[in-house]
Amino acid sequence: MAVIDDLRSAVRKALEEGRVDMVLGWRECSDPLRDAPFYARSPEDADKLVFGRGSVRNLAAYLPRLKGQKVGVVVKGCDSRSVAQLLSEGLIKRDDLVIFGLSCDGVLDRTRLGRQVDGVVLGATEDAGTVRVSTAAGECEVALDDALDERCLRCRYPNPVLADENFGEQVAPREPEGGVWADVDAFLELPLEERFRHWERELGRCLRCYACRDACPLCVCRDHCAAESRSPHWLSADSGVREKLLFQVMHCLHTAGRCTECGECQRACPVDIPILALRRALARDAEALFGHVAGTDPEGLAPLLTFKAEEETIPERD
Amino acid sequence: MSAESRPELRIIGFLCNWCSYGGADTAGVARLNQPTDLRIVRVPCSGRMDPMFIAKAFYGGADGVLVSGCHPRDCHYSEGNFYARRRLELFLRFLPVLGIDPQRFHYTWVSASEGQRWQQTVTDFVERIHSLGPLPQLCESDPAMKQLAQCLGGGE
Ligand code: SF4
Ligand code: SF4
Ligand code: SF4
Repeated sequence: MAVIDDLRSAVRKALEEGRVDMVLGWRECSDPLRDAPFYARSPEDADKLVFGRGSVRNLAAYLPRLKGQKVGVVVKGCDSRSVAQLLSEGLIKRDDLVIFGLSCDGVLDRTRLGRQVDGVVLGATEDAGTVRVSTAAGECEVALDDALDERCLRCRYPNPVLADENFGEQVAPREPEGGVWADVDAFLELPLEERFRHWERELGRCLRCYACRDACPLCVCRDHCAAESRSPHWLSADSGVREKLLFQVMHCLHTAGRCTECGECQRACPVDIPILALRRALARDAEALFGHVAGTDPEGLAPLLTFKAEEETIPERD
Repeated sequence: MSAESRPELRIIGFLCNWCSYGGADTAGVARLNQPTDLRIVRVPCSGRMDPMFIAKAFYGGADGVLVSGCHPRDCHYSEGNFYARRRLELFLRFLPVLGIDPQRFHYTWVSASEGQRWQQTVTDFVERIHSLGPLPQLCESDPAMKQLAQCLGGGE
């Protein structure tokens, strides 16, 4: 495939010329549905890079902790928003970064696919809008749209919002039925108490492993996370659902207006709690209130870090 | 003040030190009748309002939360309430997603001289919360722990 060859030679060149110390990309691993994050450190490593339906992980998540090093990063359209958001917050430096941008038409969602087949997925091939999945029980077919990550079904930025070099043909943004926020609208149709119980029930399963936080490219407080602070003591060691809900709300509020809905938090959750919906709802409101789409302007300011004396969208209260 | 016959609800008010706390005090000094359901927390500025305070109040058992600061352009620290306004408005819209009636939360601006306005604000808000009734409570204990207790023969 030409795109991967172009990417490999561009990465090889950047490493040969010493423009970067390493390049973050994906390479194959034992999981047939997911490529592994990979640090290419030598020109030879460039040949191990892959890109495809399994290149799910948002590699921008690794960038803040590599601050100070010259790093290349391979991004899909959506991932580029995380990079832009990190840049806008000064969490990474543009001068230290070489961005290899890939136009993208979707990645597979292991959880979604897994619900539609019997047993563990051993392999998957694709042919004209159909994914042929092999499991221990045999082969079966799933329509591509039923196997793609849900974010890809409503993708607004299939092409990187910023990159030093671009690869692949430009892809048209998706126009999902019911609009980009149809999922949020549908959830808000449910009766109020049902929504309350939904989160109580879902978060009741939460293990408080904080994988959702650790996977989030925008969670950068590290050892100073408010969830673990003793002064103030936001969360106790109590095992009830209240602390779990509070932690989730905390993560949502700390990423409000910054979250690019990349979904790493939900993908990282070992018990599949659908926590992305909370973030999407906030992102929708941040967009409605402040006209702000996180990660689309590397020079912009997150809306909660600024204000207008006259807010056109916020009703006056005397 | 007349004795209330109805049971009190738990309503938390976060009041800015410079304006609204003074406004509530003005109302008190003027002996204006105020509902007794409100527990006041004094904050240095509405800009100090982390929306987590409100979330923590609700999940901790509050039935309503009121935030009041200085009028826009009157902030003691010039712009604290401008930041607050953005955060509070976004949080207000987040509440329905959590399944909490956004009517249970109100934010407003009351200055230190507006005793009467404070009385009106707090009376209206408390009435509103009483018409909504108590917030649904979270299940007391972890369902997994409950199950474990049952397995071990502890019953409920
Ligand atoms: S959201 Fe868009 S850019 Fe991201 S993986 Fe899906 S299709 Fe590709
Ligand atoms: S909160 Fe979740 S969706 Fe938002 S940026 Fe972080 S990982 Fe991505
Ligand atoms: S990843 Fe899932 S289980 Fe772990 S803390 Fe987050 S929501 Fe809870």
